[in-house]
Amino acid sequence: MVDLTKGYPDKGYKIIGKPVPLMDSRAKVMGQALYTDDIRLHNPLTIKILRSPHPSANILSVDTTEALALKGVKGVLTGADFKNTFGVLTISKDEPALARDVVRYEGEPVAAVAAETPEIAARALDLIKVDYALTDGVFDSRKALKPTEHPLHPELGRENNLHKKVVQEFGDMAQGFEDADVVVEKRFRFASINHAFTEPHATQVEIDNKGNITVYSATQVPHYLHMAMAEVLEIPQHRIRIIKPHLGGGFGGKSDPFPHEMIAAKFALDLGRNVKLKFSREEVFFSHHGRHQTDLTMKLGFSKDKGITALGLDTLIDGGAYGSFGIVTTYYNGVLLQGPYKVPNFRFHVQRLYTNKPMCGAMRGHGGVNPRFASEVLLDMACAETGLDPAETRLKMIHKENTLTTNEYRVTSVGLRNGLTEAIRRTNWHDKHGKLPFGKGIGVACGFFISGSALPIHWNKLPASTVRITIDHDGGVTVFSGAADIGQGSDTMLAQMAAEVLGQPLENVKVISADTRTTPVDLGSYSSRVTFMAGNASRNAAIRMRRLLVQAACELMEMIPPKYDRPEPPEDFFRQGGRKPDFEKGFLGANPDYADGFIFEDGLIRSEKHNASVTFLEAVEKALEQEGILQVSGTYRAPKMGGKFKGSGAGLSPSYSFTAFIVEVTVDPETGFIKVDKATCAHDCGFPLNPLAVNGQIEGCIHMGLGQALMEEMVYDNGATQNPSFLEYKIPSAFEQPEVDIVPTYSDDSEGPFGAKEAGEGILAPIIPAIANAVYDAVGIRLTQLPMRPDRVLAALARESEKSDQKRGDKA
Amino acid sequence: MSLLMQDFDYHRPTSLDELSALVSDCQKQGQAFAFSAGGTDVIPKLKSDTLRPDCLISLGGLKGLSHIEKRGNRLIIGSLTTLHDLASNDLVRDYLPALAHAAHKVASPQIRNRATIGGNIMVDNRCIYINQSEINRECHAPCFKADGDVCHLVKSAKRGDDILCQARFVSDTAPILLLLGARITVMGTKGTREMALNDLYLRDGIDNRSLEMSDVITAIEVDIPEDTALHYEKLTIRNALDFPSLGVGVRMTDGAISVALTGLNTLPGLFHVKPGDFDNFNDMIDHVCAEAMDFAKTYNQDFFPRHYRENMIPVFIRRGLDKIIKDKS
Repeated sequence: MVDLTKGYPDKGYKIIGKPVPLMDSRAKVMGQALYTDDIRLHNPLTIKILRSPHPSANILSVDTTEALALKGVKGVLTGADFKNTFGVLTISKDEPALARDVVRYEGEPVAAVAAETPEIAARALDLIKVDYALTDGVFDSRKALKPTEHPLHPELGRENNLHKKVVQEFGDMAQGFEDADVVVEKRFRFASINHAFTEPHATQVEIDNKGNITVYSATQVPHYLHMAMAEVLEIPQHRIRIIKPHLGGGFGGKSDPFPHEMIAAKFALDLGRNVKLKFSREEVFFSHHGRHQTDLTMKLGFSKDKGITALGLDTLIDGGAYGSFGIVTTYYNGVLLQGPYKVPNFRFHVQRLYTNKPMCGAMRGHGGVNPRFASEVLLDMACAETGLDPAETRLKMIHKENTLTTNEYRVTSVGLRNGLTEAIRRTNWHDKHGKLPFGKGIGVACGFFISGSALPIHWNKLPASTVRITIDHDGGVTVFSGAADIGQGSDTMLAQMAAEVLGQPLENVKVISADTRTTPVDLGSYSSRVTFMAGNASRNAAIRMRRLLVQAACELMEMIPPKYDRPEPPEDFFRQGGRKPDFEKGFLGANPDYADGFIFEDGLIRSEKHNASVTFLEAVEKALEQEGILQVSGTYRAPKMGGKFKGSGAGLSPSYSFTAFIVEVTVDPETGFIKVDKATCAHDCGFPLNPLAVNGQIEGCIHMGLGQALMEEMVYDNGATQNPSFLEYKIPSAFEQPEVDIVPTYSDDSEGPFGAKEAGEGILAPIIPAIANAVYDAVGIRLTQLPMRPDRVLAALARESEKSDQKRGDKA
Repeated sequence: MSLLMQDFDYHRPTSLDELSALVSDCQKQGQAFAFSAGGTDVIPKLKSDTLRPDCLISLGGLKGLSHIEKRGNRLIIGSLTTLHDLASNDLVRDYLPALAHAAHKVASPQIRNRATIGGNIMVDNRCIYINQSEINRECHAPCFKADGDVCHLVKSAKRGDDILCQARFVSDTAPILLLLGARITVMGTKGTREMALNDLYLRDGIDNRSLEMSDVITAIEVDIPEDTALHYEKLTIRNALDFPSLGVGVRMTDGAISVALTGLNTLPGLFHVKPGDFDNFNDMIDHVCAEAMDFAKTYNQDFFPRHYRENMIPVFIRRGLDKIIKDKS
């Protein structure tokens, strides 16, 4: 067995930093884990959804008479049955549960049937008569900019199909380009891609005799679903309980409230029956919410001495029919370029357009992936033009610790320099770059990502995450958290926090999560926020619990309980950050030391000073005397931070992760095939809480990045989804996964739980430009369009040889 | 869109006699019937509602059709031999390694465990506009192959045309079998007959096989070649799962070259050149490549754009020959 802790500092932890298999992995591989569709409710009705075969049409009428008359059909819903629209962002609640008057994409839900069996429901769908009047759709973001009398969303009062436009400018762009030794500019284009998670969307709803509903749903955001559902169904939130069962992959594709969830709940309420619904893979592709199709032009000014002097970009992102997370995506397409290097002069102009296609939303690396490709390719070009080594140049440019970026992000910990240095050494970069035979290449790229958004998407003053911990008379520790384990392992992470602080073996800690009735609010599993935010909350709850137990132990041992140096502030444990934290004085972060003169181990609580101990169970029993229950909560809220300009909150995070990839490829100049031979990754996730889980995320990000780089693409033919299946939508197979070398890379984030930062998303972005840069090293072409299909490689090679022929001709 | 199969009768005869009786019953009652061997091509069509039989007859229970045996210098392959068994059979690996390789290149282990060689040479032609969700077919208007009135690839096509449908031929095993001059044994209502595999394939993407509905292929017979200078290679973006965007089989016999193609037209292509007709080896290769490219009738109905697939034909032919020459030396 490989020792996965090798290369990381030993901090004396017993559980933190150790490679721990995820708590649910055994159940999952044994087929015992219950996913949403596995749950057996009593006698449920099956729901099926009628979807529009047209991407753009007016609905003249919907006749449900015959469907309702079919024996076994219990109900039919249409757009008229839902008054309120919804959306994950309060500022773009533009989506109806069922289309009303107009359909905006092929596959949009138009009506739904609840019936005694799936067969009856399917037959009933055929009996619903919808009369459509086809209208001209808009399928291209550039065309969506043009004025039209019939925009998709007339409620915005715009003359075209613009959804959101963001422009931000910092510094002096003209001066920045003036100061550059070289200015490079290119247009890049990116296909829309799908999350391709394994488990299709599914929802089941159970109703009790008082009309309260329990919604089991494959969702990353139980809390947002809770709120949206109450609003759409017009019932108080307390009548709704959302439970997320085991979940088979999210990647952002389950981070919105969905129409089918509203439909299912509405049927349960209307009919007083349990209901179930699941998507086919086709329906997953129709629902989409994937990465935006992107058309961006970027210009980079670069100076040999100063690094990047200016960066400007002009971007169109194709949002599809509805808003989803799109406003956030629009910002992220710009702001996430503020790392991993200093960009002193910076301007971005990003526009999100509505088109008659399935909507796009959040997807792993949200909004940051495509511009990262562009900037890392341009940086590689600038290095090539100035004769600098692209790896060493990046190494020099990476943000220093405790930096304020140009747009006033507070960058705290940075551990990437050591990691990239080691990656350069391990790959023999200097022996290879520019020196390999034609067809073989090596490339580098870096990335940067948020560890959760500091600001909530629904403005409120509540903590970003709250965790409750109880200990029962039997000594079992239970962690209650609203965080959704979507396969990334957040339950295991929460348990690790409590186990470490309370000196318990991991198996003594149980986690109950993502159940809106029993668990405190957590905003959900998106934007890489859970480890940082829910993790801190769990750690802090465990520390509070530890203090109660120490207090009880002291009473039993007749000792004076310890005084804690830093008295707890009333709200939570954190010293709130000022607007500009004073790093010189040492930023006081989220990690209060819990050293208290006691050792929790082997079922004992032992005083370090005195030769005395009590058992953990004795202390628990003592602590229970007063209230009968032993329960604490811990919270996380991000420090106050950020600039004073409009939109300064976008991309603000309490900490940022950093990643570097060195990728080696073989390019076949005859077929244009790119084979990724090896990927060496250095990812600074702070201190890795569970190297096994971190490595899993790295391998997964490489695989997913490989898909976007080489083959993944949503294909539309006038708005019709042409490849809604895993046969035609190409995700890589295991054969394509390269050899992976993970360089132990770390920092100690002063605010992250036990020093940790994110490890789930930031890794994905830089693998893609690293492949492109390796292709340049191999065969001398700059690919500017994803996926980098073999035919595009050949076309670029042909253009390149034409150019060199021309040059030769000019000389002659 | 429901992906629920329509109701149909299901039969699983265990003998050829029982099968014949079932078929004639269906014919008498005017029931539309379909055969399923491994089911890997049929089940998706049932789910997407592009095949609507009254009666599905599984061939999977027929005894004695999944053996491989050597008789003299011939190899007889039962039509129900799974692709996995074909790829791993010692006789096939010894005498027809290129066929084992081609069978191994089909789809994935799970599919090869069920899919049969008979099913693979009979696999229906495919097109992005027919092998599609119901909703997508509705969005584009149903094409000829979906009993509609339009071809989305050839907009000018109309009923009565010689070739109505451009759905592609996609069998991975056919090229090598064609290069080996394989013969198939067919059992029909009038008894059993033998025919050349090459005669099985027709030009139209809808009616693409020369068999009667009631015909069943029971065996495939191949002469064992004296040398094994054959090679099959397919173009796919992934090394698993996909149908061939282009598949090229190459054979070299006494300096003569044969090339068989799949994925490029409504039927497989087969070309022969021999050294006496050409000034030199390169001319001969150029000629067969040109013939193969002429034969290709590609449309943008695949992951790869049509011109790319066409341009890859000579590359794959030359690579196949290089491989053979390298293996020989």
